[in-house]
Amino acid sequence: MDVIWWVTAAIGAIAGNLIASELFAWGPRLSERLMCGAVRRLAPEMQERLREEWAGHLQTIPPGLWRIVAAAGFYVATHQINIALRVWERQENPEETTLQEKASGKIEGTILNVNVGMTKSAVLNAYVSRYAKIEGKGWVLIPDPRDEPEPQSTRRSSQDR
Amino acid sequence: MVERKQPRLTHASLKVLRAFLDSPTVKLSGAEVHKQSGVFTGTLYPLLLRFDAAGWLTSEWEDVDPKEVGRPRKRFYCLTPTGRARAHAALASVSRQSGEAVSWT
Repeated sequence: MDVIWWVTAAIGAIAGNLIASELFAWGPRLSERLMCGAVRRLAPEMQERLREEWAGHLQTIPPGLWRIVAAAGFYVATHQINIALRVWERQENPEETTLQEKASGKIEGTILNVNVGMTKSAVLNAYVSRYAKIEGKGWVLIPDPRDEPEPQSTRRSSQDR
Repeated sequence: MVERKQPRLTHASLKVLRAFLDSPTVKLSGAEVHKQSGVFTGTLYPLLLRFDAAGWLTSEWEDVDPKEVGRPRKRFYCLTPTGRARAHAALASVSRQSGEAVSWT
């Protein structure tokens, strides 16, 4: 039994060393590719700014696993940023972006998209976004009622409270 | 100008605000906020953009030429007076609710 344990440990150590050295060698290129992929998924108006900002962020992290993890995080960030941009756009042009106008066709189905993240202190953050498939229009983000701009009267009354 | 809704205050956003309050006079880049708050990049940048859009933070590019320094410019964030007041109020409110001093690090 001891022999199996030692052989397994030796193989694990060698494999771990190989993986670590590969990650170290491929880390910079992989993280850059991940970052570029994340930037491409962003809304066009944010691409230039965040490409430079995120490239600067990656430069501060030594090559290796953590740089790849940070670059993978940008992928998660793009989704949240795109949602925020859509919400702001809807607030600025509410008449153009209500779901009722988009949903002039038949709703063929809905899905939930759940992003789950965990902070360093193990607090779970979950972001749920809902999409509806509209006939002839594809998938449309269903606005979260909590993100809708509050009516002026409601905002004032909540401040009074 | 449309008034954008104030950002929701989650545990991660409070940690980010705490990082700014800990160094009120210093402008922090995203990487520095990440180091100080421990908030993952996937959560951090959407938060920074939301705070920026809500007027709690201001941001500006580092005043260097990327070709001269041989690296991309950093974007620095700084709390606005509004952001500082909101951050103090939010952290005080959380401390009151928990009934004890809260450690964010």
